[in-house]
Amino acid sequence: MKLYEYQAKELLHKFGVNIPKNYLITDVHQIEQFDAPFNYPIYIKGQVLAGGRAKYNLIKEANSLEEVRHMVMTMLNTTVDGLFVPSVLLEDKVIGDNLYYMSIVNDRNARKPVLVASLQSGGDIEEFAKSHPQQVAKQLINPLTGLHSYQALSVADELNLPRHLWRAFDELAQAMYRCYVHYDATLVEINPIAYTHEYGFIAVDAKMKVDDNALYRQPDILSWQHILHMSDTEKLALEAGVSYVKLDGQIACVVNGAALAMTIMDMTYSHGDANITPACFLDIGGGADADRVVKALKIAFSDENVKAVICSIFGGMTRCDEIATGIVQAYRLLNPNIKTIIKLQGTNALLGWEIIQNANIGNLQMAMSLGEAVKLAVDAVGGMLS
Amino acid sequence: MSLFINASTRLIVQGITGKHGSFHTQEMLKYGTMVVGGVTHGRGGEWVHGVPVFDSVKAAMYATDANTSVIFVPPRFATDAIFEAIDAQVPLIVCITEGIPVYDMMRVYAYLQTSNSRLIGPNCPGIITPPNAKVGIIPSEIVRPGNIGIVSKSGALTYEVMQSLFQAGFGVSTCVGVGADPILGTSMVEVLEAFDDDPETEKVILLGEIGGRAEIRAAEYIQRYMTKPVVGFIAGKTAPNGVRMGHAGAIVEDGDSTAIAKIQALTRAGARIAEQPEHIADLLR
Repeated sequence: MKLYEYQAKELLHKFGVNIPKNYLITDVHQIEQFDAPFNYPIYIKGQVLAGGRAKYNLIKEANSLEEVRHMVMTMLNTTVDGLFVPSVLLEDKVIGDNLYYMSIVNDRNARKPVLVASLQSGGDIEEFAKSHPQQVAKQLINPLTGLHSYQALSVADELNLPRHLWRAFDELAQAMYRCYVHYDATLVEINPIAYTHEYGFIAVDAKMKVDDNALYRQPDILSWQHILHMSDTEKLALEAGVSYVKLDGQIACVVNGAALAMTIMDMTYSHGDANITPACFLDIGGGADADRVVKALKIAFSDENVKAVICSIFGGMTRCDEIATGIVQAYRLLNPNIKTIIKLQGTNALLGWEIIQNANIGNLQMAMSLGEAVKLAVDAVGGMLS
Repeated sequence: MSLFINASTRLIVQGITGKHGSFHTQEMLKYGTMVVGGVTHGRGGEWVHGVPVFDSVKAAMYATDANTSVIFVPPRFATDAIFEAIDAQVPLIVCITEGIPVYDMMRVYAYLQTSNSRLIGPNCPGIITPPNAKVGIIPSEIVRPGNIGIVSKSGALTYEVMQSLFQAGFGVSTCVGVGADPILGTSMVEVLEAFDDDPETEKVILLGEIGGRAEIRAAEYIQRYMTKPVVGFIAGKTAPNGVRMGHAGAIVEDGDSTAIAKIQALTRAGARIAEQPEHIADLLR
């Protein structure tokens, strides 16, 4: 789960990272009553879960309350690149001598967290590290023993950071690591960090991602989830416990297993007719019951682009009779004019077949192989499009 | 021979009294696996499908002389279960659980390096060595003994491939599901290495997907060292960038983690990559 800039800063501040004085606007009316003790100019920053905000005109500088009002109005509740801007952060403009980069991020290949820092800020650090390897320093962290001060100091040394800043640099790295561990982050990034005589190091912009698998033990983060801009289907998917990714084609793929669902997507694309593509990826996971199937199909049917569904189940943990019961229930409940191609194998597959046969629903069709399922679905869509 | 498990595997089930633990204990017993004990804290002394339940892995190891453990514990308790198995010096630990936090797995992985245990998974379907050893949840009716080794990240896709192999008359030496999480106990390369050394395996099937560099590393290994032919399939050619596709590890984050990059690397290394899983059997001939 990605966090907004203001959220990341709030969490980092709890662990002792300096942040500029700021004020969050979530409602247009707040501006009307706004009488903030800022020293102009201040930054006006639209909050959105994407990088490169300057190019979307979401980072501006205001010199008067008049300008603040105008800029907030143009940003708040807009959508850029499909992403909603639910709030705007007003923030003191920090004037620092130098701008730096620091992050703690999961290094999947090393299977450890890594501290990354540079005396250069802005842009994509991965790309920068490739073109200027001497200007980016890294230290892998043993998660059993944590980040040692000597490691942060060796990064400072490697970067030729002025020595009088080393202690503060270490404190910043330690604060970020504690925040990373405490909130089960997969990324904590401050980019840029400014150095000012008043505050020392201060976070000008910050990014955080939290591990979805750890949300059960992060109640503070979880409480932020509902204010994120989620579509109704995404909310339904979250509630049903299915993985849902919306795409823009016509065939919904309802599958137990992520790789198999992706495979069916791939096969739908490569089938030949470039106009017929997948409408969504719906992984119902292992051990799904009838209720979860009903909800998954509800999500699929709610997309008006959907012209056919492929429901492919290989029951291990999952029982095919539960799946079949769910499919029949969904059709009795919603009666959609959409064909569902069903492929059932594994645990209780025969029982599942019987349930489908006995329900006698014209829009349900069985397939014996993945290739056949994809072909039947593509034909069904082709029939409806022509 | 065969990989990791065989007829002398003595298995304990962590989480044996749970719904999944109990169901799959029965399935593993039916297949012929020697399930010698189970562990559920606070339920020691009970029996599940004729298998004695112990209060700790240590007690179960002491009483049963087990050499393998399989974990069917919910994600919030699974990390503890893995640490317990490592501390009890279980040589092979297979963790089926999906949804373990990444930070926990990084700690587990670091701790594993200080031990002699091997971890398979988490978020994996387990291992099957036909005709009579199965640790995990792989359906056994779609596999017969043979000389094809399978290493895979996923569950259902693997079963599809096994089914089509079965119908085409092929048999399997061992199938290892390494798991689909970002941090795994055993990598694809380690399993390829083991297959290359296994006299019962003649050809290997590699099933991968988007996310991470495991398949790229596998390609490097195949090019340099692998003596046996490899056939493969990579899922997710059409997955959008930056979106997690179901599995925690299945996300395109950089050039190397795309399906196309993996297919190209494997093809360059001499592996034959199928367009769709149902074509794999043809490539084995």
